[in-house]
Amino acid sequence: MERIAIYGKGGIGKSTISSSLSASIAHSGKKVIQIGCDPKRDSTIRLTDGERIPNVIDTSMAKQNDLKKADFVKNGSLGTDCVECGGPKPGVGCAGRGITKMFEIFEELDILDDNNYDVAIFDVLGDVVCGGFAAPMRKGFGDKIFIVISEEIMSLYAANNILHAIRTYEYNGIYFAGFIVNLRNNKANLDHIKRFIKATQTEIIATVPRNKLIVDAEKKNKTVIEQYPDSEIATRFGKISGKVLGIGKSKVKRPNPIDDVTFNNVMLGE
Amino acid sequence: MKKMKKNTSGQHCCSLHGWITCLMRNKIDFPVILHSDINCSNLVFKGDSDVNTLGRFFCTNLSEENIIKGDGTKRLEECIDAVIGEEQPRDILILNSCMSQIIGDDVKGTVQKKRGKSRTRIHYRETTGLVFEDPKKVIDDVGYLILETLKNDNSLRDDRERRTINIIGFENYVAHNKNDLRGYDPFLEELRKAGAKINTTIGPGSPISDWKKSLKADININFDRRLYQNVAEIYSKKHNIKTIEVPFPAGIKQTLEFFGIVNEKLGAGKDIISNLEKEIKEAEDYLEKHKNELKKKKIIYNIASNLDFTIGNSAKEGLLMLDFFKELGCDVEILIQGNPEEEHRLAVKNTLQEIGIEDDFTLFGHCGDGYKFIDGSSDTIVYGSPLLKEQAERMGNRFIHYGEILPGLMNMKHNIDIIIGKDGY
Repeated sequence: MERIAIYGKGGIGKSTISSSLSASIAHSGKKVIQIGCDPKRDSTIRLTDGERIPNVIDTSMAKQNDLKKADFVKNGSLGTDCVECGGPKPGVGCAGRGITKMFEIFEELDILDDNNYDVAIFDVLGDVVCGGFAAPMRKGFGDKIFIVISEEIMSLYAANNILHAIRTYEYNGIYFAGFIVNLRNNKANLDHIKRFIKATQTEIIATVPRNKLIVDAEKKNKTVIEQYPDSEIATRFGKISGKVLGIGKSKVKRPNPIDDVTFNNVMLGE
Repeated sequence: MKKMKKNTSGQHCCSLHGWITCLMRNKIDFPVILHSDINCSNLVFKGDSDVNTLGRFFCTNLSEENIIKGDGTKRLEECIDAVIGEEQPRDILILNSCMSQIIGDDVKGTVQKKRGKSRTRIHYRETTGLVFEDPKKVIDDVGYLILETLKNDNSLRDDRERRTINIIGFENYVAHNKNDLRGYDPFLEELRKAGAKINTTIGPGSPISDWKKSLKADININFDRRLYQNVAEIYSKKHNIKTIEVPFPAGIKQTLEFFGIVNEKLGAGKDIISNLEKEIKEAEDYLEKHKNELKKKKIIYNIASNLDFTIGNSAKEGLLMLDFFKELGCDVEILIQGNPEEEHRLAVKNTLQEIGIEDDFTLFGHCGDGYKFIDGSSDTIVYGSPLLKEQAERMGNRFIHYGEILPGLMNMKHNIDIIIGKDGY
């Protein structure tokens, strides 16, 4: 089973990319599970027609020892399976512990058994603020890591931090497979991204342009794959998903995260 | 390869554990709410659990769900309401564990919200194992809290008598064991002869009844310079009882110095020396009789140092006996556990100077390294924390732990006997 984790700055479009990849891979006939690792619990909303599915934390607390896979793994569109971790309201509790707890439950219930799925996609909350959010890396759940960036400098700053986390946990066998650029403005100057890629010795594996159809589909709580299957952008996602699945550890270089001073210099072009 | 530093375990305590232990020993009579998970609340059943005091402890029993969702403060509010509703106590104390601090529970805000809603005074102390906490500071803080709960009880201060003193800094288990000949009673008797009327003794294990009784005294005598600094302050500010600090009265010289200060402060107007002539003579004779044996003895301090390069307060208390050992004619060596780096050496030196000690000392790397200084001779006596007893004795050395040297002239015999290893000691 391919275990893919999608990281990136909050609001960068991780859920959009993750859901589109899940839908596209499922559309090609593979069995996919998407796992939202964010207390906002909206990662899979475009795969479930806007329905908020029961989340792992609330369900496990309510069911205690009687917890079953069907209690929180719900069917999504195009044959996908969907899971939302859940967690605290903003400003209280410990979301990181929530994510770790979810993985413990996954292990207990054998959710990610190789026979169940071909691909698991983890959509992980924004910045790696604490150990809990690195759980997909720490526990070896998401062994192939992609980071979503845009032309915004802060998305690159977050990406650099995530690269540090990847280096910290690479002893678990995880690896960085590349950046996916989710453009806000199709005409944006991308020179600073190129410099960042060079400095960190990384690669961009795909670029998703700003597209009206994606926005339209999201308004209808759908992925563009389901809503506009014959569109150019849906075809593009098909190619991206092929690339995402095709990348292996032997084909990628070890990233070289940079320090803050170097980062600022790279952004300034110095 | 990068050289790794060896870290020894810190000589400090989990603040929550320390507070619970002290409150349990003090047999507090006000309710305490532990805002903690069930495992930390279990600390009340460890060590010095007292059946009656156990009933004074309540816990919010945070579940994993509360930890993740951060709704534990609701449980705290409910718990405070329940205790106030059932008992209408004058005071409640709220303590919290690491877990609530890690997840950022707003315990302070919750307590603030509840204050003033009833006649109960709600006290809160942030108590976690995440920060360095010296056990003696916990003892001091607990004493302060107890005196804070008593501050408006004017009846406790009725019938205050002149020249009545509290002795602060006693190990209470000894002071209260009247049948223990090695205890403090002989010294208390000497103190009476010096013109003082003893009201009560206050130490880490004093029950709250003694703390209440202490408010009837005229003055406090504190001979542990490191213990009860905050306690001394609240005695003075809220209860109008001044505390005077005196050297620990071990040996002849320090004991007489001690009585001199007490006599002067109390204005007893008596000549202590003439009152204690017999005791002084006996102490001097006993010292003279064993002078040659004592000269052969070497006292080795084996002191752990804390993570912040200072030495613990128990050790400081032990170091107050340094002059006493010298008065006996013993050779003394101070060993301090810690990396022999300049920064560490300077920090330790400053700490020693704070308590007036200019003697040289040796830093040794870690516990095991201490062995090489210990020679297996019966004339070498290791003086340190009780935790080191087994280690020292295994190496063939004799061992005396902090607190075994007792105050006063009549205790000279006891003190000399344990050093020379006389039968029964």
